[in-house]
Amino acid sequence: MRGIDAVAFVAAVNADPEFRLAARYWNAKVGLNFPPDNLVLTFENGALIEAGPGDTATADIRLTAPEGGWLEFLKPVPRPFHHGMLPAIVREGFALDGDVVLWTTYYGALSRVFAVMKTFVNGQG
Amino acid sequence: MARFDKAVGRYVYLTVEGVDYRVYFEESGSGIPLLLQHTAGVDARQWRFFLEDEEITRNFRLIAYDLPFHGKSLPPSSERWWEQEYRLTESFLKEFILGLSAALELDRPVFLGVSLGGYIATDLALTHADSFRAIIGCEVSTELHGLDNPLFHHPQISDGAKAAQMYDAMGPESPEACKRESTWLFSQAAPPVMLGDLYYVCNEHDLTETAHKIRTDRTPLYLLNGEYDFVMPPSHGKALADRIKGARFSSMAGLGHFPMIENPPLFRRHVMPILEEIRRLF
Repeated sequence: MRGIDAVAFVAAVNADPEFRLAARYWNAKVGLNFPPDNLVLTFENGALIEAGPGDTATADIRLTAPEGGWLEFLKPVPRPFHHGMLPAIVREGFALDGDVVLWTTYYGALSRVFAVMKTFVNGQG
Repeated sequence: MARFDKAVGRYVYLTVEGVDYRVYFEESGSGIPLLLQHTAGVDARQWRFFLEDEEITRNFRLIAYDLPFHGKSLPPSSERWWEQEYRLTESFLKEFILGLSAALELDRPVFLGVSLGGYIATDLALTHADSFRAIIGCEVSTELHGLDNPLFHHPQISDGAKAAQMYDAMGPESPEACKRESTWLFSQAAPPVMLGDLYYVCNEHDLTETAHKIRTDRTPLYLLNGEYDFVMPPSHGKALADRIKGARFSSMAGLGHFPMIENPPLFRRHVMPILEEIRRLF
């Protein structure tokens, strides 16, 4: 997330109409092993309130990608099985840890967060 | 003047494993009968684009049916089904498909199924090949043990959440409207249906020891897997095809797990040459 305006990113996520619907009632911290830092996304009452470096150990949901995994995952058209969280976990060595029920419940919301993140990483955000 | 689709729907009564079912199906076209089996956790609406395809319906009579407990094929009114865990079995599927074919007086139909439909396509190829002119299985694998995730039927997880995961089973460049329609259909299954369908897929379907016994000399077998299908990647379909003498395999570039609805124009590009070959054969 270095080089990305975190405030603008948070605003863009909360402006995403599909995210707002999918994230209703969500309260959670999601941790990602985003090199060179760990990234923690904090959701409160269905909104993303903070995105920044932090300790992922206490996050409710932790997603860990193998080296280079996030780079491929965030490409506009990634190669097969980097095109979604579930495919990446099943086929590409991404690891899910923590509250799996919560992750499944808010899979759609988190997918939208990644969709917005892609636009920022690829210079469109 | 009203505009109508080609497909016409109606109900037929079938007795399967001693229980009566009122079964919904839609059909269009004329010619060689072609049975269309939907995936797990959805229904025959996945085939709606196929049913309207002029080029296909010119030579084939397409029949897309809802399995019992799916779509408009309601659970049987004679049973206390709400007291039992819903589980689809291979024996039920086979008796149902053969019974439907007999009830509609189909003469050796072609069978085309995707995912769950692809699995039963290959199981039918093993045990009932003579009942079909040709069999086409999409998103297939020799076996798929262990993917019957209990969270597919969990009181805290909505059917919309399950559908959101299925969005990622489709190709990233498939048309957004089609992918959304696919997930909409997925979200409409009754809560236990997806996991119950996977009972057959993950616990009964296994051709590891038997695939080599499938005969393709009288009933051609075509297998296809989508490039982005993380559930059954092309490598799985190819591995199964390699075990079956005469089976034809192809990978479908750009497509995922729901090819007939996520990108109908691209799917037809892969399937039309096969249907044309079958038409020339018969």
